[in-house]
Amino acid sequence: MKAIFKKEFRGYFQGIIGWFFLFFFLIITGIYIYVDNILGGYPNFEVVLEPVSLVLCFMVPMVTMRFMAEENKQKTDQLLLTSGVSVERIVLGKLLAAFALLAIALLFCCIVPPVLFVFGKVNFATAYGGILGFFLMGCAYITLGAFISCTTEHQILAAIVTYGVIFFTWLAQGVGNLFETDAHTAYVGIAILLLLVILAVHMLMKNSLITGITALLTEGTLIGIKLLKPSLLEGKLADVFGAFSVIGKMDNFLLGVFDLSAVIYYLTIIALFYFLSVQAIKKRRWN
Amino acid sequence: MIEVKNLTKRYEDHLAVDNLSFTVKKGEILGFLGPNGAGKSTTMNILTGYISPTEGSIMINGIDMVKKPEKAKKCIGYLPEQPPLYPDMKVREYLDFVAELKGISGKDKRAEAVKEAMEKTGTGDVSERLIKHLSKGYKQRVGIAQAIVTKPEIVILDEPTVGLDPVQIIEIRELIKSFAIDHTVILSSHILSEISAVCDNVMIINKGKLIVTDTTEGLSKHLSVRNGIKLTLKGDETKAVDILNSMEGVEEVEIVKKEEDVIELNVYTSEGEDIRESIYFELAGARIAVLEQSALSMDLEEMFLEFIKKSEENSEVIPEEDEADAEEATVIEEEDPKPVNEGAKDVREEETKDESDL
Repeated sequence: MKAIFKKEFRGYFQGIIGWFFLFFFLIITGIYIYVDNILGGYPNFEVVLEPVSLVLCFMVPMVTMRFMAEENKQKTDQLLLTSGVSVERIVLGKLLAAFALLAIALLFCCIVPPVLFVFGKVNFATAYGGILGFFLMGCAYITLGAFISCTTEHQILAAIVTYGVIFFTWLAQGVGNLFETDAHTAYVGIAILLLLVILAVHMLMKNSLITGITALLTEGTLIGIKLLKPSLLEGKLADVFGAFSVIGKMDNFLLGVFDLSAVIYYLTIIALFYFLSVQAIKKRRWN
Repeated sequence: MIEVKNLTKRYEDHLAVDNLSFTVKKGEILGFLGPNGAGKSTTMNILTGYISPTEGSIMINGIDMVKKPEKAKKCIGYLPEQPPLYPDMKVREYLDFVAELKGISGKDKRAEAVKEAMEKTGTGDVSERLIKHLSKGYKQRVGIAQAIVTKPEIVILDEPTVGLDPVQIIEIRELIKSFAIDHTVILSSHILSEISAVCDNVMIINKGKLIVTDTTEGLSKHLSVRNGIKLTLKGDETKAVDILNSMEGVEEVEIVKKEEDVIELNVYTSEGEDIRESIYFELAGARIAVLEQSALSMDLEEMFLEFIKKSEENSEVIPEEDEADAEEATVIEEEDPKPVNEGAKDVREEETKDESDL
């Protein structure tokens, strides 16, 4: 695992991607620090993180597109998978390297709050809480992108799909709020969303039995709720969309609140996509 | 050392490996021989734990590959069909990575192992070059270095001499032979001279099925080869045939080729008779010159084709080639015997049909 971590981490800086990521990220962050904190004379660092999180959304697919797609393409996955290192450790080593890249970028940000002291009283707790939240959000996006890269051998395809998914998570909250809050809209909306998710899973896994059973169970439960207690569904469509809003969970951090539920949310996303990545690699070999 | 029982790999609609069983002892070199798309690569991928078998068991050093893959894989060094190289790494860096990946801890120990592997494969002079800038032959050598860097007990090489020049081929063969003193080696090839030069035992595979397994010398026993002499003569044809037919011990005379007054013929004799001397004197007496005379025997090439032909006659249900091996078939070597080329064409068509991204 250590070998894989080292190789991946070095790989980011042997190619252009690692430098590009750091350069672009720090330049944009610097601009916002200049505008918000220095010109605006506002000592709270966390306000900078809001625009920067969009930059992160833009950068993540570039970092993760090669994750496994490149290995699949070059057939170097044969080396990794026959080396005696378990798939779990291979994926973990690679993920940690990507997390470390993000961490380096954020280490530079950690210097900023003490400097802002000249503009007034800095609340270190909210500033560093914001950076931690931001880091977790980044890790969640990275794991998501890594999973997509595990399912293909075309890195460009992986990047495009990751952009699509991230774009959706970005818009999700807003889209959810557009719908009416009555039970019937929620029922139809959720049913369609479920179908889309199941279809996506089916395309990735190519296992009709599993997707069939999942489809029956989930849609069945939904119909059950609609028939027995439709009031439960009221306003739920917005909630469902909200659950996809990875970026939306940052809101509290930006307001200076340390949101434990958001931390748990991000950790869950990371664990889920880590698990799915491992399964996707194993699945390719058991076919 | 390696024990494979009833190995079967079934894809949705076809069998890639069909009920293969064999054992390899320590210090033995086993050669997998078969036309492109025979299931050689699939079998090797299963042996090394890269893909899973549908049925059957693989024991590596007494460790079950399916149940304890991590432990079993540590005993194997594997060179797949396409060497698993990172183009943006330098050779030394890459080998160091492989050594660390496979669990050699300690910088000095790794440096030692890497140095040794580079010496053995002759890659020392390119050690600081990026892999993407190397020639195909050097890439192949780095691939071999990668397989032996941890000095594994078992070395599995899928077509190890592809892309090498004749001098390198001989070097690599010597290298493989030198491993076999304390390692077990499995290698695959569709080039027969390679197998006969290196291997103790040969397994001929076609369409996922084992056709024959024996020592390199013992193979001919499986085929009925008629006793006889191959002759090249210069002189009158009818006169020569008459003389040969009248000789004692001659069963049949068959004309193979005729060019102006040079005739090539096969003279079949009854078992145990050596009539070469008398042929010479008899024909010389009739002023027919004997240009060449040799015992009639099947070389490995002919034997191989014969085996493949026999197996195809025997099997009525012919399984389709597997997709992974179809890729292999797109690289057709010139050395390929003709019927194999024809088979490969079908495979190529099939490959374009069921290509998938995921």
